Amino acid sequence: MTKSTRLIITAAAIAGLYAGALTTSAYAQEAGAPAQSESKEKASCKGKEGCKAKESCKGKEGCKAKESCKGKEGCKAKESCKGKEGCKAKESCKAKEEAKK
Amino acid sequence: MLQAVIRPLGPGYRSRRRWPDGRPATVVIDTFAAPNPRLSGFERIEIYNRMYWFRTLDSLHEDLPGLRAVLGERRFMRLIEAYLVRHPSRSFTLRDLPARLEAFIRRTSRLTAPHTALAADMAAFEWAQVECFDAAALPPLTPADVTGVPGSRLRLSLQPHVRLLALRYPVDEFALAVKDAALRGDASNAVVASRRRLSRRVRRPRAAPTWLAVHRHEGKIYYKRLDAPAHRILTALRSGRTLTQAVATAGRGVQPDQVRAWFTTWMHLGWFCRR
Repeated sequence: MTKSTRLIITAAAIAGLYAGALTTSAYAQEAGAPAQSESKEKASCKGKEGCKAKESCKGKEGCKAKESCKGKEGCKAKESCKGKEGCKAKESCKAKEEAKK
Repeated sequence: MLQAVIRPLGPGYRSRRRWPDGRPATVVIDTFAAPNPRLSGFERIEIYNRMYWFRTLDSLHEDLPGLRAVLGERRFMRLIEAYLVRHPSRSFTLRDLPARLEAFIRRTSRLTAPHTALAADMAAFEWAQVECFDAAALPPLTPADVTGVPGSRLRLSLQPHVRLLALRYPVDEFALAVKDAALRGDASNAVVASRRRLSRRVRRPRAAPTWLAVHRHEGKIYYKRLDAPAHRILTALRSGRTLTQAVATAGRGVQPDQVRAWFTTWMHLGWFCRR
């Protein structure tokens, strides 16, 4: 490569640096092929429609609200948690209701 | 104790009955592991010995789906068992486990022949993804950083997460095909055995020089094909050459428009960072 060609190519590279800096974000196609395919990401629990967001026990109809151990019909009243058939041992509210959902 | 836990397993994935020096392992292990009412000292340590090996084997199994597809399950397991005997984990994290696999494959070609070159390329490619995943992303270069600096003195740094590869096989396409096949298997509720068949059904690629950049963009890993001169320029920049020296490595056939387009894209993708 001659000196003048090298200078022209260097100038082109610098022009490219400026041109690239002027645009705020890259197009996805410029990035190449994604390592993780779309379908796998969609199936993931993480994100907008993840398990947590959609069917969490927390909230209006969550375990706590509906069949909490604490309260009128809770384990304490009916089947003491401390005994053989307590929440933890047999029918833990959290575990069971989460599994159902 | 550590030696007893990390020593290689014997036939049937059980602890070896002999210590490396030839003594019965029970004799050695009984000196530091007491028996309990149900298990001898040897049997107690065997639980940890097997756990250690299954965890490390499992980690490599998970990190290297492409290499599994190249070799098939049985040869892959033989390879990684031999690899772990030679290079046991020395790090606090299993992330580092495949770091020396490419070199090991090239050194011990009998384990991968006749696909040694392809297997080594795939190991390098999959390791690059591990590195890319958690390598740093430094503040990107701005026009202000280069303004007024002549090309003969301008040195550009590449983001640590950009990994450059010069390969003999197009392993990127092969890896994507393997993943697609595995996903189809998942979608059809296929059992594990069928998934294995699926991943092996993907035809091994023919040799074709391939230049790749594995990089992170908006939190995701991408593989980007590069032209050979572009790969040379980036490699030269990474090694600390000036911009003028780096573009000179591109060779004669390169046109200014091409170079301009490459640099625009790389800047776009934030590949350059401050030194």
